[in-house]
Amino acid sequence: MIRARRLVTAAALSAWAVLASAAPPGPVASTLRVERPWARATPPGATIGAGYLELRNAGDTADRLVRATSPRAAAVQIHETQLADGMMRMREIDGLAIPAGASVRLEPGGTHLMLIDLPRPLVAGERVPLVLHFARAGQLTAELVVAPPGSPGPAP
Amino acid sequence: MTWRAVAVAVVALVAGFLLALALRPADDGPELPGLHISKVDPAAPDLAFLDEAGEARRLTDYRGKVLVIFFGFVRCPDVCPTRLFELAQLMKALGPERDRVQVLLATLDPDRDRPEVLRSYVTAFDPAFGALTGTTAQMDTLAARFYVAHRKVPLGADYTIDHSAATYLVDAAGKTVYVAGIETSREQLLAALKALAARAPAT
Repeated sequence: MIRARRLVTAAALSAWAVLASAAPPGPVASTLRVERPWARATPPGATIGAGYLELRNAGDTADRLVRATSPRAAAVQIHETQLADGMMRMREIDGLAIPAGASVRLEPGGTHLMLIDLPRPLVAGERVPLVLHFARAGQLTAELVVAPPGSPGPAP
Repeated sequence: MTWRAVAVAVVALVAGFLLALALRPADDGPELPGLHISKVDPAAPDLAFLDEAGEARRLTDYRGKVLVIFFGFVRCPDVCPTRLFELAQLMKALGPERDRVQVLLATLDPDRDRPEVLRSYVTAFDPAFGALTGTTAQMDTLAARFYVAHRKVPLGADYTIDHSAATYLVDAAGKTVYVAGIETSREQLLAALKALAARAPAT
């Protein structure tokens, strides 16, 4: 049963990999870099996780992260944590500007990626495939390295 | 008529001073920079909880230690783990005096956050961290007494909980509650913990 499920997962992952690599690379992809992509391990039963990374735009053209997808979660949303009415609230935002020459951080307590409807928790050591879709650069792939529970950042 | 204006001013000043004295509890702790004193009664003797070991607890059981209470929940993806990590760092910075301080996560998701779930979660941040759970009614009452607003928000097939992100410090006498907000710096929080721990009985 477990083996069968693994096979299905493997098949889904390879299908996804083929589809992802088939997408044409964006014209300015080389000037955008994804650094320190990581996520925190989620507790048993949790179906929501957060992903963090840094986006470096070495080019002289502004770009915009418009959405993200992962085969590991039903949906990935770009969220912003904000203080409103004395409460910390996470709200989906419809994109994230990456100014020319700038570096934008998605980090704990700030803007982050929300992995939604995880079929199983994120486990320390796991690598979560991620596709980031940019308005100009097209698609960039990354892998969120899952750090142990209680971690403030990616494992060194 | 100037003398009458002066008399009114003097009476108003005296009345204001007396009112301020009356409003300030006699056994208030010291002022701590960056934090404010709350009028919350930290005793809550009528509320019974379960701690992370599944033992029955009341807040008064923690007297003798400085309490650090943070309201949150185990499946909280971003804000709670970030805050708990910061608190774990503060405990390290406190050094030996950390034995006089108890950090507690009071859950806002008590249906899911049972003692064993809480224990494995909070001890991942610091082996000495504890937690409080109970019935939904008990946790709602505790949150309301600390003026903690919280609201379930659907996310995918699940939900998350928006909540006040303040951290509450209760002095070792169990009398005074200090509130550290987002605006309170790490240095101010550390200084406050040091000041309160210094007033706590040695363990």
